Amino acid sequence: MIRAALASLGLGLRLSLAWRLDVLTRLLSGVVVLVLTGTLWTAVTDGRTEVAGRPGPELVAYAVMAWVVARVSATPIDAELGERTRTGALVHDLLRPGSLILHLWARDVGRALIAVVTTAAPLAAAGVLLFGVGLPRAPGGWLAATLSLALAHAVGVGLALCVGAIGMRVGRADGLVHAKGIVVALLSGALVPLDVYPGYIREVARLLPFAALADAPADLLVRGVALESAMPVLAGQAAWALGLLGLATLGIRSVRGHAVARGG
Amino acid sequence: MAGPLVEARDLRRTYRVRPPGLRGLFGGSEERVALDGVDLDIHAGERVALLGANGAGKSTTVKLLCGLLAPTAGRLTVAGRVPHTRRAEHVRDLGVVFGHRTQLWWDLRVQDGLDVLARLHGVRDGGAQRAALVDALDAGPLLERRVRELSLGQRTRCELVAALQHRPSLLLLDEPSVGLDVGARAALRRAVLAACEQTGATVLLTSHDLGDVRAVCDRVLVLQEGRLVHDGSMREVVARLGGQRRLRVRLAEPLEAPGRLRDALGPAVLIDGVMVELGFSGAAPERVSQVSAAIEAAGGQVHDLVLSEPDLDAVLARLFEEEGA
Repeated sequence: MIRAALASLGLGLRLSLAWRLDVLTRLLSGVVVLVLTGTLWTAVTDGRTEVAGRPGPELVAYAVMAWVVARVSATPIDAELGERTRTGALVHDLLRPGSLILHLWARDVGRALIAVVTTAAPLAAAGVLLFGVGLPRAPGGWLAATLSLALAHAVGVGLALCVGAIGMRVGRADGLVHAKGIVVALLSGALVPLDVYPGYIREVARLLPFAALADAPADLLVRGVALESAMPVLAGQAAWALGLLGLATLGIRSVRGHAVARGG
Repeated sequence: MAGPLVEARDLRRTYRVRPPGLRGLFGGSEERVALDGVDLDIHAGERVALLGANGAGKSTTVKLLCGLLAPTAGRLTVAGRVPHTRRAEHVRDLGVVFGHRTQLWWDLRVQDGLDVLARLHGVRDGGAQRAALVDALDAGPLLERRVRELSLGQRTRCELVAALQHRPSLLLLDEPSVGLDVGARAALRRAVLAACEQTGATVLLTSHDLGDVRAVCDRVLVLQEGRLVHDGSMREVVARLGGQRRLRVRLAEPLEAPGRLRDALGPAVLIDGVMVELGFSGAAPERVSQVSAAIEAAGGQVHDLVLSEPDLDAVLARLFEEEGA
């Protein structure tokens, strides 16, 4: 199983590097949004010591890093599963030994690792240079942020697999994938810091799995929270990851026959 | 292994289908039978074709054999395993090629895709097997190229390597030649035969191209509306349906008394100037001798003759029509 997972991870690494222009485009578009985000929140916090309970520079840093983190945790698995069901290519995925979910997860870990190196790291460096984003100084802070990022990715995969399972059942879930993208952008903190929402929306948003995708790791990163203090946040992310991956496992198992039976 | 590699007993698969419109929304679903009590044995090393019109149950059979679907009733085993309950173990021993679908990755070099598949199948000593297959299928020059750069024929050869490099005991070929031109189809048939010879895999082929069937398979199964209506050799199918060989004879010069030849060979013989043509069943050498003798007796002289096999497409089309009626 480990051998197969490593093979899938290696596949994700290779596939992510297959189109260099695509890698470059992701980086450049990421820089553009990062500059706009950083500039916008710098303007919003300008002259104010605190916005929505956070010091101005910390809110800017949070907005920038949430965008950076989301480059890693956002996965295209959901759209891909629907597409592969529609074209019948899914049959090859199901004919490989081992778990489909583990294969997709491991493969996306490969994509995420490439995204860390080719997109997230350069964007974080740009955030430090352009907006003075402060990153953790203590190893414990980095450890907590790294664990949170890994869990954010697992939550992203779980969420995408749940949407993908619906795509496998109905044959086309483009609308749902699109809707998920909008909800994630708005409720994960990737585009709008959760702190600036009105009280009850903010509290509800923090209870939803979307916050585990960007808000949690970005908050740990910019505040440099040590591992011990980060445990409740990490536990919440882990719970969402387990719940969503479990739900996806059940969902995909229940729709597999339907997806396979459809078409010739 | 002593018993058959594939064993099906009273195999049945139905689907629940919702009718369109409001009836489907409020009236529940209907049961549609895809396979209806199929009994089947395939022994190791056999090369078997599975034929049938669209909707006959071919794809359902393939999916059941893959373990992707579970039978509604009956029993199916492959190498002693029930495919859908021991799926992971089963697919390690299965090679599949679906025409116009690829198990390799579009953006990777063929070699890299084969490496990934070998690791996913847990193949440790796949190097020698792959090398032998690459050699047999003349796929060496393709390994360094990206899958998206290959022609369909080249890609299908690489798919065969991918399907067989983990030494499966059963190879399923589902419309492998679809979309290929005549030359590529012939090359694919040679490749399949070479691969089978190299690996000894048992083959189940579904195809609408009877050239594939004739070239690759020694046994034919015909499905009609979910029932197995024929199991035997292609020659038996043809004989059963009255498919006839045709003998075309070119004479040195037109016959002076064509009526005598018609009397000797029967009214079905076609005589048009120097051309004489007739259909027949049974052994060719005897019939050719009879016809030659009749032509000489009618005062003619054979210049050339051509013997053609029955038109299998027509034979099977007739079979599907008969069974469907």
